[in-house]
Amino acid sequence: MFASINSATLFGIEGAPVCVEVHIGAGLPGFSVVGLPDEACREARDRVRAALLSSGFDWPNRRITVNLAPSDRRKGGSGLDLALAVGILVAQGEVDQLATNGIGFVAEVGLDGSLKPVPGTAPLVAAMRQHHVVVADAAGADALVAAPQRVSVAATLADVVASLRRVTSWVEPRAFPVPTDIDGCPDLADVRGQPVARRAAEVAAAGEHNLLLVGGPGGGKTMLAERLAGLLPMLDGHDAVTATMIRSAAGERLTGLVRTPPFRAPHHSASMIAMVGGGSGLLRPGEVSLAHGGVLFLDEVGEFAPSVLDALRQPLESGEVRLARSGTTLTLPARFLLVGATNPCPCGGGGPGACICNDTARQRYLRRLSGPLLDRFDLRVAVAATSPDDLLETEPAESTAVVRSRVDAARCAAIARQDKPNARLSSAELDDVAPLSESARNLLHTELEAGRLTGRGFHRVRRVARTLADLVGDASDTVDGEHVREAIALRARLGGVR
Amino acid sequence: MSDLPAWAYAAALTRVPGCGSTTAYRLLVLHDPSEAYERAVAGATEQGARTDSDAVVRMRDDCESLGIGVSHVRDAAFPLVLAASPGPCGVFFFRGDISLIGGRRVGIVGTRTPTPSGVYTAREIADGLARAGVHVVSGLAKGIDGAAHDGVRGAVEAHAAEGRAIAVVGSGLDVVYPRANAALWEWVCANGVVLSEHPPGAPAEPHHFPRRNRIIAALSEVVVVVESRESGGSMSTVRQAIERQRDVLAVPGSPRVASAAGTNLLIQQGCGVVTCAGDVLSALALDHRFIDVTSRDERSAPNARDVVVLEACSHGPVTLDQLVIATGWSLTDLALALGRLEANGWVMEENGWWEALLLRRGRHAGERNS
Repeated sequence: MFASINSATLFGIEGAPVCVEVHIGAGLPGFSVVGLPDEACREARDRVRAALLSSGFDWPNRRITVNLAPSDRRKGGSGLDLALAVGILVAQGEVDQLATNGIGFVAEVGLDGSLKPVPGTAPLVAAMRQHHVVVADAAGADALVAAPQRVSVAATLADVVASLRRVTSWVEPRAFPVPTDIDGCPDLADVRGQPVARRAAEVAAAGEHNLLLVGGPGGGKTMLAERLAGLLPMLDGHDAVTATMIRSAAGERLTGLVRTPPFRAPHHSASMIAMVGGGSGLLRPGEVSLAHGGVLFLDEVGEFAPSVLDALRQPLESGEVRLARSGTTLTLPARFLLVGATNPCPCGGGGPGACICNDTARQRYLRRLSGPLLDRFDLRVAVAATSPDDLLETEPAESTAVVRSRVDAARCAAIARQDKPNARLSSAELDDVAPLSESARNLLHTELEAGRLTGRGFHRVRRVARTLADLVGDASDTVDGEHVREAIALRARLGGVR
Repeated sequence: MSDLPAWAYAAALTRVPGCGSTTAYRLLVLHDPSEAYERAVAGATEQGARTDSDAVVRMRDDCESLGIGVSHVRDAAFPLVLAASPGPCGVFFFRGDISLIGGRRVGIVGTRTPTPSGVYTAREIADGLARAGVHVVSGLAKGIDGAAHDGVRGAVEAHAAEGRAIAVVGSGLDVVYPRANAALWEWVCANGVVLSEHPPGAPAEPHHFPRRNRIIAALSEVVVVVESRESGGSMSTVRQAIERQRDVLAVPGSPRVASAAGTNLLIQQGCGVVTCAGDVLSALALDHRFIDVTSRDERSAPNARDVVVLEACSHGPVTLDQLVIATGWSLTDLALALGRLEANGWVMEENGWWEALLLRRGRHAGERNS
């Protein structure tokens, strides 16, 4: 009359084990679920009832009580369906309780008794390391990614029962191909006639410097940003697993361990929750987490809600986002390279003189970006529409592979020297690892004195100059005047401030 | 009431509802200021407007406490150029030295969203005119207007120039608009004169500016348009100037720059071309006062290699991408060259677009005369 079945529920990007306890007892026929279920969980009753009947089992016309232990934690989603169905069968004596020991169940059931994949299969399976886990057929790849343990798949509830009764044996999921290289990423060779923008992408990837592309429509800003992800290193070890968990928790179907640096380009109508994560009940990862290890591209960055842009500051600073809700605090990883694209003004006219906006509108437009967020873009580059001659240029530009070899070398140099990319150097560390040569010092002094460089710009320029030196292989040396000069050129003056 | 000065009545007219500048002018030409005021109030009351019996006293106190002077058409010192048709002005407020209107005057107008080189040109022309003792009339607006007055300020401060700034604004003289030009506004009040048709406290409203432009046109012997779009405030000033038989001169710009489209159109239609203060002085028949500013260019000459970059920047704003392609240089070399050029004031950067500042070759006063 009692059953206890293992399952798990999703919390952020991590699974939490849940014990589904089913009790069938005397009393008026009824069904109640306790233990802080959400709406999807509560609706499990109707799905499970139909699924049991469709699969040829009885529905007990007695008092059924389901407890989701630990009962002080919120549970959400439909992943507990299968555990509940099995629990009812065990409590009715259809299946032996002993047969279910050591097995966890994660799947949604359909009214016809079929099993369906649920979002977050990977972290849910990972949360039940001690158990043999049964998931829906379609979720086999997701489950395998995370699991060191035994994983089985089943197509229907009847299959699960058959295996539990030892009538049939458990089915192993098909193994998936392990990706070894960045594939499907568009190649940098496609970007022609924009040598400086290409160079900026290279520097951005090498030092993890955030990049702002300024220019009117048709300048190829999106095209460049897409290709920037291909310059970043493949995700490995911990990062790959984290990225995989995030994708799975966001409800994406996995084909294997995520190793390609992600490229996320949310539309500018994105809400705060879509951007940083959260939401009622289940705290879902937002775009900043989905871009972990890759590129977050904000096209028309000035059109995003100011509060959404402000919310990016914490992840940009710390590489993670902390979501505090009543009773819970959740930290999601969010280390990404921010690439922004903007028009210089609302009309998108491009260069000075071509714009038809009035001064107020233009200032308001830049002010939306300005301040703390604008300051976090180390690289600010103007891009103009390419001329037909350059597009038709016969000589193809350098490919992603060529540029990546330089980027990798520079990254390795930075990691070997200070154990982090140059963009994350504090100003104190800069003095240690990026000492200025005499000429560089004089140059910066002149620029600061003439008011052509601000104090904030000063540190940003030094970080970029360090990366530029790394790119030419001056890893141990001081930063030279020409590196500083190039870094200044790659930091366009915006709204009169550099 | 009888001990109030005549100017206070004239000034108070501007606060009578329904009494615009045309009505005020007509009343003041026909009647004494006090009589004109009574008639205006009677007319307004007839229309159902409420009038305030203390208005004249308050106007006097406002003007006196703010240091604002009033000139009306019955006043012996009233500038005749403003009383002439079309669109005569009956009464105006001023801060500063109103006698400047007796000097030689050139209007410099243009867009509020100029290119850096437009700003530079306006400043340079104004500087040259001020040093030749010509007053510069403009509107203290953002962009070209402000740059023109700023050029006068530079000339006065650095070279004790005799030419001063005459500003005509579209708000009360105690309402500084735009705020960005507040310091310049105060400087013009102290060293030139600021005029307005609007009583103290009047906000800057859009419909004030076309009316303001007619005063700029009326006060200028010659109107110079530095950069203008095909429609806009500067073109309205140009129309007003033509109606008043004032010469209009325009500074040519690149056809690729939208903010020079209006000036280029003017040139197509036969308007005179100016490229420096000397050209304007010729139009005023003051060539003998011309001081060649370029010969005093304090910027150190760029070296031979940097000239290549300067040349590439001089056809309108360009991005670094375009410069790299045009010169075939590496970004590092280009950055070094741009750094040197910027430090010496040869190029300017805005939002990532680079532009050369006024390249001028071999146009000196001597060549002009030969």
